[in-house]
Amino acid sequence: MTENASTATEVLERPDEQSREIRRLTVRGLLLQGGFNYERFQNLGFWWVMRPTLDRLYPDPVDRAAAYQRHLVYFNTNPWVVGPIAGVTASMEEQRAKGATELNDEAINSVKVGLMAPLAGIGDSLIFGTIRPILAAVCAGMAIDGNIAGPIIFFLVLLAVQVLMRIGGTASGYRTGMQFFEKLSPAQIDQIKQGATIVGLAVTGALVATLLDVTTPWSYTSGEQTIALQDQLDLVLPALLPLIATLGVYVLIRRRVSPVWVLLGTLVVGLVLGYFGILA
Amino acid sequence: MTLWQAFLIALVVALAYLARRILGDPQIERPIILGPVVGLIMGDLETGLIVGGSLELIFIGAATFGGTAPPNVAIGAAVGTALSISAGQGVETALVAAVPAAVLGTFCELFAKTVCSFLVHRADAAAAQARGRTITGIIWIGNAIHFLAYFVPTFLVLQFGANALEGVLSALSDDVQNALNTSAALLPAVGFGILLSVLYNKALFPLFFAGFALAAFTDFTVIGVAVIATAIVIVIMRNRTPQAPSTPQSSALL
Repeated sequence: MTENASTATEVLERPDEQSREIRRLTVRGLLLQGGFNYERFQNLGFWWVMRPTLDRLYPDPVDRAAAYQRHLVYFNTNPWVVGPIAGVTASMEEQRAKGATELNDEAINSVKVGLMAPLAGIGDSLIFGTIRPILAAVCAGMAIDGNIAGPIIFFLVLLAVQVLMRIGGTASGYRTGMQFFEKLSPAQIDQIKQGATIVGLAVTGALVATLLDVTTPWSYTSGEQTIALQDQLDLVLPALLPLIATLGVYVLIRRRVSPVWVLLGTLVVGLVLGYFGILA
Repeated sequence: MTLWQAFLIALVVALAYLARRILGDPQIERPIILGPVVGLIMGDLETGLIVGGSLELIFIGAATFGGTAPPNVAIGAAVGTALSISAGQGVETALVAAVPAAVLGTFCELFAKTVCSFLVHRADAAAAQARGRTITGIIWIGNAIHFLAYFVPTFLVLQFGANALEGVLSALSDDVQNALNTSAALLPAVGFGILLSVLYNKALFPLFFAGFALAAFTDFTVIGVAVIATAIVIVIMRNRTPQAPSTPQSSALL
């Protein structure tokens, strides 16, 4: 470092400096959704993640202002996968400050956008579509039995997954930089997402069959016998009514009916059908 | 419910939500976590656990995808748990109280995110002058808005909603009680339906029925189905070269 370090760009070459940078990006990534707004979503949070890097690389006020503005554009991804994006972006800013002129505002932003959408797809299907529902189903069952271990396991397992994703993601993004794109090809991203989707779909099917307790108390008389409709249904397909209810909700959501309305509608339908003894 | 209990519960809800903003989204605003915590504050951990677990199933698929506004599970869970314990009522009542609270709570998040949109322009102006401190300050003003958008309505509903709900519940007949139970049993279909639409993939959709059939016709648990599905995924992945042409994917998740 030279005498006029305060005004010169500091580029990180030593491994220990880089490790510290990776740690800082990882910890700062926790605040990604700070100041979340409908105009540009996580833009304020992403700026906050990048700020120390930008301050270090751009001591000149004009350059720094440009860098700040560069990272206040629209940003939105799954919060658990911000690590690789922050890592790649910091590494690109590093190259740019070193003199890589081809990394203009547009180039940096297009890499960010190119990463945030596919990674959000992975994060959403893997975390919210697969891991959390499986965990929730098991732990909710324990909680309903009055077992305090349910919520504790839920919290600890998700925490462990998150910590691993964040630490591993930032480090691999920062160290591989722009090549991260090649390392994670669209075909691979698709594969990970498909894998998560397969498990998620099968598990959702199992959830419907095991945890949705909707039956009908209806019965009819045939000659001398009284036959319960539910018994007949069970002969055809066990858990038929839960399946119909779930597919009904699914069709409405696919037709872009707001989940809030579907929830209210289901509440009302349940009350009405229950009141008249059609469902129980 | 005492003033302090209402205050503490509102504080817990708002802090759990704030963790989504500034502590990496650790999912502590899920009903399975908030239920027992609210139960502790209300002096009935057991009911809190049961209500929290039941609400978790209802809202199992509810999550914020791409900035959409799902039902507010945090406020729903806290209000449902607290009001059912204070009214000395069962789980079904809690579930049915939680749904309207979750629906109304949707506006809390909408409100905060909309108000924060105005802050972005302040941040732009500060960025043009490289005033990092000002932008940081703006972010924290935004976080405070998010916090208050949860704290104030939750506190008000708990403080003034308990008496009203008790009045309604004491007037209910057995028929209505049955209707409540049915509704509570049906509600998890909403969570599962949302989950399905999140996972939507035309080519893979039959696997939903495979998982369903496996659990419906046999004694397979959710974990058992998950293990089998994971094993199949691993086999498929190994037999596929990474350069394999990608199949078209739904963009619903992006």
